[in-house]
Amino acid sequence: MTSKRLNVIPSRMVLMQLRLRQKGAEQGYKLLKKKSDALTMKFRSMLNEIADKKEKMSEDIKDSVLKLSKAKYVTGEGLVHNVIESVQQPSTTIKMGVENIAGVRIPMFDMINDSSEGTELRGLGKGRKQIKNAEKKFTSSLSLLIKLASLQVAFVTLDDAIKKTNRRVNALEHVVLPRLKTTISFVNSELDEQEREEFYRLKKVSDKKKIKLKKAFLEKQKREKEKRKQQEELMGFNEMENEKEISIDKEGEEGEEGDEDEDLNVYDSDPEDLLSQFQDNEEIIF
Amino acid sequence: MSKTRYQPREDLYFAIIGDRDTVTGFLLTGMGNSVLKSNSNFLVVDQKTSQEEVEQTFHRLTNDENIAIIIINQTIANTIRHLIDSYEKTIPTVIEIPSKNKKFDFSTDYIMGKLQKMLKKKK
Repeated sequence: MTSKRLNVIPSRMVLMQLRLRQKGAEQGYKLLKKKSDALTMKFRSMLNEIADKKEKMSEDIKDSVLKLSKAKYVTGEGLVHNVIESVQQPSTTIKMGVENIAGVRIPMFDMINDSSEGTELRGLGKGRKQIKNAEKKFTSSLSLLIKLASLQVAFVTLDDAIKKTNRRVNALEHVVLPRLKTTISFVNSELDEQEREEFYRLKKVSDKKKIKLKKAFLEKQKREKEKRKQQEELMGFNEMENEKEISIDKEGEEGEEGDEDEDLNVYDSDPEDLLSQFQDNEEIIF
Repeated sequence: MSKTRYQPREDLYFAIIGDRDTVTGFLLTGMGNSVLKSNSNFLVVDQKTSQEEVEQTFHRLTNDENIAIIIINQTIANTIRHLIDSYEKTIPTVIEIPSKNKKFDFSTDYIMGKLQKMLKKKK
């Protein structure tokens, strides 16, 4: 279906180039397959981890909110307002590192807690301890969340990377390689065909030459016969004059015939020599 | 499919869209940033907050390149589900957390949705 061949002129050079390309494609296919396998393995191990972390996170946050409610109960509703209003510069930030998995860059988050300020401002008398508790709990939730975020980002990035790699792998396996293969076999068969054609052509040429030579030979024979006839006719005139000369001439004619036989042999062997010469030439050419 | 190369950075922030208690709790950790009121990295959503405001904040936060993680309550996420589902960037990443007094529903979480499909496929 997709194994249409490439549009190339069948020649030995093209065949060599195609073979090189096929080799390259096969190598690329192997490498990409390995990459895809490595990514998939990492991905699989990540799936369960994410599911676990999500569940844990949901429990953890519930706990955190409970702790905050306790703090609120002690300090009163003013706390919420106070906290929201007092926000200024963030003391907790995120550090993003990059991890490399099989050539795929995956961002990894890490929390930086610069707790030099902020916490002291919220010491509201007796509720201080409760607030501190809630803060601790939320910080631990946040660190859990950051891990989850790292996993989540890695999940999405890997998912993308795997899809991309698989697409390439499939393209190589199902489109590029079959196409190259059919093209190579096409070029091969075409070259064979050319060779056969060439051989047949040479044979035909030598056959034609043979026929030509035979014709030439026959014509020569004909001419010779005519000549003989004329000579005989001439002899006929001379017969009356001298009978002895005829017998001598006849002997001469027999000798000539023998010569002609030798000529025939020469012509017969000639085309074969030609053919073998052609074949020699052919080997030299290719 | 975005073709961004991730560079290591150190000055990224959280962002949070949530109900009053959740936001307060996370602000206690010192992740809040409100040097400019219009540019703060948190939004308290209550009955008075309009849907439009939530959507706008979501847009603003997702297009802020200083933000790495957006934390959002699931009940609020449900109101802007169409935005979250069509959200394609990897950074900032959106994390849904359970809302107060509500059980976390794993089936609506967009990452979990994908995950569950794959886990099923594996089996």
